[in-house]
Amino acid sequence: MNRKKLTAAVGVLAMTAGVALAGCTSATPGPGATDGATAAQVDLKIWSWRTQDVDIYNNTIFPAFEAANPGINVEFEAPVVNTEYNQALTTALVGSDGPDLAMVRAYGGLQGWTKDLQPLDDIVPGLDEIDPAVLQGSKGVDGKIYSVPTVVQTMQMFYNKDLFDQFGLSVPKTWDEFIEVNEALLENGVAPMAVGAKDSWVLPLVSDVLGAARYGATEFEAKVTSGETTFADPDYVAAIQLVKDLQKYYAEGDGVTGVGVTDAETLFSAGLAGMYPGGTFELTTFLTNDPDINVGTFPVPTPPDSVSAEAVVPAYADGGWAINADIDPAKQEAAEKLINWMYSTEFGQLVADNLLMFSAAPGVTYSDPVLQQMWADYEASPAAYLMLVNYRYCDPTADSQLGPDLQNMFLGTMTAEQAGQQVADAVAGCELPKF
Amino acid sequence: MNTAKRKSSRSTGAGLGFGAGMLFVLPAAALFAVFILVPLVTAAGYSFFNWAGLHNEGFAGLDNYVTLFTKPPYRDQVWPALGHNLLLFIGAMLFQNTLGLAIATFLHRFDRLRRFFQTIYTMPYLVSPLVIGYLWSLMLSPLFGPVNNLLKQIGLGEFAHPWLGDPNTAIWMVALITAWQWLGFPILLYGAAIAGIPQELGEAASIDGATPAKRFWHITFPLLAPAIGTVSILTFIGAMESFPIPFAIGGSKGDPAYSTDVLSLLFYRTGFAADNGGHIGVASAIATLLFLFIFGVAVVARRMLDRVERRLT
Repeated sequence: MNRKKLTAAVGVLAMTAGVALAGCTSATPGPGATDGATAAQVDLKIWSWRTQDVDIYNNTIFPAFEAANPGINVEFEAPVVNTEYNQALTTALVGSDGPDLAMVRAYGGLQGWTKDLQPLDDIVPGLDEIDPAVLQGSKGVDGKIYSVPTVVQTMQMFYNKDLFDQFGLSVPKTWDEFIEVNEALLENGVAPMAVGAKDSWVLPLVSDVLGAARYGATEFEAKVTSGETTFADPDYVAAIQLVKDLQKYYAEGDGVTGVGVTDAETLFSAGLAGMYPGGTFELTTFLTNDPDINVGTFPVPTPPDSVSAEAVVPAYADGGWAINADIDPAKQEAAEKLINWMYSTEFGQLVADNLLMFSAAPGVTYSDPVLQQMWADYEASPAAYLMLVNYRYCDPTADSQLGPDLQNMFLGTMTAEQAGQQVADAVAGCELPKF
Repeated sequence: MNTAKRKSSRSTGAGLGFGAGMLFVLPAAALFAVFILVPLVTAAGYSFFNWAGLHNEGFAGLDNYVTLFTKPPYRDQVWPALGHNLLLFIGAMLFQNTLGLAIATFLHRFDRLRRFFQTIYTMPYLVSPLVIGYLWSLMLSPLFGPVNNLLKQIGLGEFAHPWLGDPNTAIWMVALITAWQWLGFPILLYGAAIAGIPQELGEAASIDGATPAKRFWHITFPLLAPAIGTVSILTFIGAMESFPIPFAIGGSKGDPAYSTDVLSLLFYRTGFAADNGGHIGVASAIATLLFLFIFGVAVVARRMLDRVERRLT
């Protein structure tokens, strides 16, 4: 009896195991499967967090490279969403199934990966001609260049041109005019500014769009990075106080911490808010939400007692292209060819025209009027986005402290002085890399 | 004698021999070992090493544990996060289990409707908690959410509130959303337990003149003690491990201002988040302590509840 049961059990298990094994073997191609294909063909796999750009890269941008380089096939993949990307790439680079090339984060975010990437100093000539604040984003703390900068993000105020026309408003040139615009929108029942304050990550960006000129942007950067002052500096505190003082102009006012970034983007895209303080990357979101939206941009005018004499546009490098250090040696030459092309005017122009972003490649021109405006404003008065360019190397990072602090200020549970002091304390022992 | 004892202890209730029994147990045990035991032990091991990304940088002793309780931002975030986990447990006991017991008791009286309502209440339980979280964050949006709009339309506009934007309400919203999703679970468990109580007991008490309330408190409730104990412990484990709904509501930082932060979010943020992540050692220390805390409390609670159950029944 027992023997019968035992035999039956073994049978069931053997069948299960058999099915499982069959599944495994059929899913794994034999070692010779790819070798039989055309020997000259090289397939390069690139990873990125830009899930929204996969089609444009695969159908428009990389076909241009493939046409000029027969035998190299480029496959652009965004395997996981943005927030999961770092972990996925870290695991893939340490393991054996990583991509051949990858989009990597800039500044402090790059440092965890440099051991698994190839230095590009000798592979891509001419990188040292890039704006130092942008190129710094591609450097390891050892001073070597590990990536070709992809795009540059500038930070400014977006405004809805149709709403401004409807209420007879023009782009503010002074702080008083800026406040008048806010008041006029409020009187007409439109939220003056859409701010997604429920998501703390966006608030340091908003804070710099509104207050970088007040604390002195580049001038302050030199002082704070040299240790001459800290984020508890009265000028920095006044700048974040300014962000709090404007709260009545944000959609939902006192309840602004209930508005998420997606809500804020929707508000602005739907014409329910007149202005949106944000980075270049928001433009495609607005245009996806409403392809007919009529958007303009301006740098926020200098507030009273401003340290900077002129309005400033903070900017930062938003990632770079890198080569896996463990790449199959047979693919090395093709990968070098591709990464050099990624620093060409042709590639930069394709990115600018199709993805509506600023390329770090040389000689790119912008035909889109909104991009033209943003680039002109940036070139007139550029500044580094401190939180990323300088303080992403710290642990904790300055922006991960500032974001929740600004939420506390909106909620009335923290003063600007306390917030400034907390950021200063958070980065107190941080050694900034010297490049 | 000894051999006979061993033989009898080896035989299984199902009448299978030792060999056949083991053949059925081993695959599950192997899967458990590979997917639960090995990661658990590995995580505990990781917590004693220094890490740069995924590169092991050598033995660290208890440094990661010391860092967790003495260095910012961890030392400032770990206690509030634990507090929020405990609030979620209290919320689940209040909103989910109490209401679940009430509904199960009520439904027990209605034979035909019982299945229908049990199915209805259990449905959210079948949807991914992440989807539930995002769905409710849309419902509670102060701009486009139907909850505030409904309040305004029925003349209760003064109660319209940025529910997820106010730290005083946000964590309770997480508790309520969790309760909304899991309500079907206690209803099913309590429903089954109530069905197992012999009807004669209630009938006899009625004949003796016991009111429905008395019958509940003196007969149903004590006999439900084992089910209540089990549900409470499972609720505790669920509340301490809570991740998807807080993540959907407040992101990896427990926005706004860390008001929806829980230990699993702190673990995730420390190990994997885009800005401050990559601290595998400290993250593993959090995971190890969280496991030991849940395990310890569950074991102690089970013992205490056993004692209470014996007294009641």
